[in-house]
Amino acid sequence: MKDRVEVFWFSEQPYGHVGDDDLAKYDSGRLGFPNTHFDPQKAHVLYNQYHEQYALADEVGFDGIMSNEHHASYWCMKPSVYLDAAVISKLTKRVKIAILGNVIAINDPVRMAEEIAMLDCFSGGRMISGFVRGTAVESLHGGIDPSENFDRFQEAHDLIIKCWTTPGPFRYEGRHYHYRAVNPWVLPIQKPHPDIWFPGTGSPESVVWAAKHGHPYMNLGALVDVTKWLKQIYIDTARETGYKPGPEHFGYLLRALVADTDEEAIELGRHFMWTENHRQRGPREHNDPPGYQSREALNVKMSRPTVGTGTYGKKMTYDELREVNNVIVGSPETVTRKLSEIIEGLNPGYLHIYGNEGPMPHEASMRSIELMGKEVIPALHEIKLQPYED
Amino acid sequence: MTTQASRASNHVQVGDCNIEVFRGGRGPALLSLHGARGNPGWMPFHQELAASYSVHAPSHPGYNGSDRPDWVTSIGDVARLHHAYLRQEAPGEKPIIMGFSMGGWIAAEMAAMCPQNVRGLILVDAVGIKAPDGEIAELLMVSPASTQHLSYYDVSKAPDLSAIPPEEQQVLWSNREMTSRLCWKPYMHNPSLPEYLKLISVPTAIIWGRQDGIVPLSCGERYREVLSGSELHVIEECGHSPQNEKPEEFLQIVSCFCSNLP
Repeated sequence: MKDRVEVFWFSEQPYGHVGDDDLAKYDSGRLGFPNTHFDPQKAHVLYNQYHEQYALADEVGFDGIMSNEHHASYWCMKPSVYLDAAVISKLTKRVKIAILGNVIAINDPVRMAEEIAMLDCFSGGRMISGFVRGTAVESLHGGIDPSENFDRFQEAHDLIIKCWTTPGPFRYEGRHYHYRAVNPWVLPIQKPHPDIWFPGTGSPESVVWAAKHGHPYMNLGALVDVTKWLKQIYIDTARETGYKPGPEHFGYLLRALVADTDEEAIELGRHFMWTENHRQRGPREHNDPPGYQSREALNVKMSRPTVGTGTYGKKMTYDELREVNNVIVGSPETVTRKLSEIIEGLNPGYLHIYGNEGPMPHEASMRSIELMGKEVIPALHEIKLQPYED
Repeated sequence: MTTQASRASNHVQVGDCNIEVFRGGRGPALLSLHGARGNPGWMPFHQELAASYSVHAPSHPGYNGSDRPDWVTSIGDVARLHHAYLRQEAPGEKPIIMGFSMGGWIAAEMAAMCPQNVRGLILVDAVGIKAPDGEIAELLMVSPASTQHLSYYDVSKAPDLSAIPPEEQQVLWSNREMTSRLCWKPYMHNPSLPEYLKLISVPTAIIWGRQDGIVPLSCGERYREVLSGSELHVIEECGHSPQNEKPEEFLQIVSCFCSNLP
């Protein structure tokens, strides 16, 4: 059983040059927010800063770096997680690289199998391949019928694994994907294939799907009580499926920042609330188009106080979020104490630090990474994770 | 959608699909095909036409009270099912097929498949052809309320969507899921349809609201170009649904067209 938490650095790579005033004029923060607000020269500077942060995270002791993909999003400048993972693989020497995830419902599954295999070869077998359905906006922006999303997701998932595990050439004729000669030359180093993760915010359907497939489930920032409830669903489903779940099956993401003093960190942490009300704002048809999810799943989401990267649920203030340890900011001592409470309460095998946001200064992010690596993470590694009770 | 209390729906089994249908009248068969919002039920114009025709107004597979078979994924699939319905429920007949908006697309595909079995075709503000000028309005990525002003010339005649009860809202939502499946890509049209239609000869009336903000009049003009011998009737001061906004003019055109059919 895994008995030590692995800590991952994560940045959405926001384009911090927009603010509430820019966004308020439009009916949506994503599909309706014109890309004329994007300045490639500013992005050039930002991307390189984010890359410096990756290199430092590797150097100071993070166990991994997690990355993701979104489209038409000013708060995540990563329309290709593969390009980002390729950069990480060359900037770093030791960290695991978690893609969370591949938006497999909107892309060509065979090409994705090839690209992940390529990254695994680049990195010497450091890849973790998360698979995601994407938010509905990813489907809309990709021109994919959202009512097909989950069906495509499941078919692409099976086909990618087949690409990695069945010697080619073979013919594949499915419902959404058709290839008469599949024979990817490049295969992953890790056998039978890189670990597959599955994320979720508040939906029990996601948890059940992950548990049935034996894929570790990463909760993206739900409140601790919701997360405990979802984790229990995972544990119960895993046992029904016939295996013993443990910390290696469960991860948790939260927003955290370390500075030299509590006061400084609390001030910098306010950036975590950057454009909070606009990120997923838009007509219901953008976040929840007809056919994208079942009515039952939506009702569960609406009824639970999910926050963080979740789209639904009640909004909380910065102070409220700090109060419930959904945003953790402070000196190394404070953050160590609070993260230790989280780890002792949830026993996650993986802890993802959503480490910066919006216009947070690069220097502040670098200092936060350094202090986490040198002072916080070593203390977290001392905590012995507990098995999941029978 | 509001079901007119004057006429209850029937259910008939066509292959693996149970189809809900509103029926009435006597005379030659007339098939009425609803648009993407769903089946409005037995409408006043159905009642008028029932004086001379045996009117069939089925719910498309996946809409309202009809089944949603997995295999029905395109407008062509829907057209084949409706042909099977007609063979079964109006055997030996050569029906008139009338379609509204998305139903017009289905009607045109049905005529293209089996022109010898279609006595006449009525296309009302029909999608199915990519607009030569303008665009078919986005309906799936936006709220229904946001397109009301495009649907009606006189918006005051538009129904109050907020007054729709929750159970009907659920039916409308479910209908939108099916529309997403059938019409997502290519959006609301079949690039080959104009070519199919050039190959057939079926008497056709094309009826359009001049101010239709959902389907540009250029689509109606294109239908007229590719359907030899077709006539285009443009109704002034009228939006996407002449049957609702200008019911008398609409019915007059339909009745006149039908009574002159060979």
